[in-house]
Amino acid sequence: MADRSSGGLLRLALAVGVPSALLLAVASTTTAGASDGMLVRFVNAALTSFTLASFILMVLLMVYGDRRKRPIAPLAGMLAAGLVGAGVTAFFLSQGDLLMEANGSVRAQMLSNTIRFSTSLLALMLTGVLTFGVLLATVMHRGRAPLSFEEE
Amino acid sequence: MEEQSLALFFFWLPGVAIVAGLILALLSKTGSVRRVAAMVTGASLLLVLSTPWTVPSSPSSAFGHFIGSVLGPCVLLGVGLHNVGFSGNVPVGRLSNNDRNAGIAMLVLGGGWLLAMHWGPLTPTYPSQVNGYWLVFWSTVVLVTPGVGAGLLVLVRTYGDERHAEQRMLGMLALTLLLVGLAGLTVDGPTLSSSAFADAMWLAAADVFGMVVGLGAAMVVLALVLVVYERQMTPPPVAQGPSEHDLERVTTILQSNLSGGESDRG
Repeated sequence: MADRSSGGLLRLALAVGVPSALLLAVASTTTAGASDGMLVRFVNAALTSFTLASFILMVLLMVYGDRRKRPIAPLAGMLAAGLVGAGVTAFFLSQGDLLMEANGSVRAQMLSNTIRFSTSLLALMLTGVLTFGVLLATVMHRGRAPLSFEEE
Repeated sequence: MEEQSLALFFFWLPGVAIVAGLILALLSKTGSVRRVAAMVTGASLLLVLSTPWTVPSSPSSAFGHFIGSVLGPCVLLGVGLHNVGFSGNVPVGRLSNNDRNAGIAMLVLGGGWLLAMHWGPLTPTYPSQVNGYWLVFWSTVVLVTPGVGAGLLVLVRTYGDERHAEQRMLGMLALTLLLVGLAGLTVDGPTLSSSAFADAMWLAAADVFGMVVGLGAAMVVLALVLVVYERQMTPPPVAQGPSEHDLERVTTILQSNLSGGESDRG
């Protein structure tokens, strides 16, 4: 069996990061690469995912609440987190061209961010289906290991 | 009705209904609620898919067009993997060899369909240029899948015993998507240039990194909320230990049951 030492974490990080880094390195030869647009996109994506994830986690907290006599405090906490995320997003979007992309208004930019988040989420879901589906299909196609009994 | 109202009724409300319906369909314990949620999700998906006809002037309709464009290959890939997987050594509900062959054909067709959307005549264009959401989707898939596949390979190698076939398949998947990405960055398609794909890939990297940061921050906030709440709970009353009277009673019961009396002798 392979080594399970702390070096395994480094190998995992390298395996995940190197293919993407290679693709981005090649991409940088055909385009300007990192630019202001990337930073704006990153901040928009982070704020949007924080806000939407907070609201979705608030819904999931209702399941948690079934086991805790339906408390209000955690729901209110995540609702507040989502509202803070939406407020911060709206605040920064209204500061001129700081976070605005090719959209005419703050509302249009926020809706555009939401659709883009959904699109990226669908892409990540397809990635998950492909990788785990291939792994599952291969595992299920292994020949059954013969039962081995120790000699009495 | 003005454009914004149409977009609200034909795109955004159905979009919210899809999310709510999926959550209810997955989490509800009541069968009838799950069925209604599934029907609402299906009807809402149809409304979103029809936005290129119902609200063609809204920018949101490009998302409906994108969903309609990728639905076919994604369903083929998902059903294909299901057929191939469940025609293997599963104890119950094993599919036939014909299903397995149909699954392989679906995988080839779905993969080929996606490639034809980049280099062939099937590129989603809406209304007259490449659909931006498809570009986001495709560049994200090509950027992330090789890394996830390679990461899974390392995990299988580290924690699995004799899992060589799984490592080979994951390696092939990661390598294939890596080569597709490199081809996309060097070979122009009929409607999509390599430089446009490179730009989209950089933006996809920013998107994914931002999503990871945002989701991580939301998870941290959730953990903090739960920790604060649980710490404010009053501790449950601690039960007192058994009294002398209880101990004497237990001793008496034990003694009367441990001793066999007359039948123990001899």
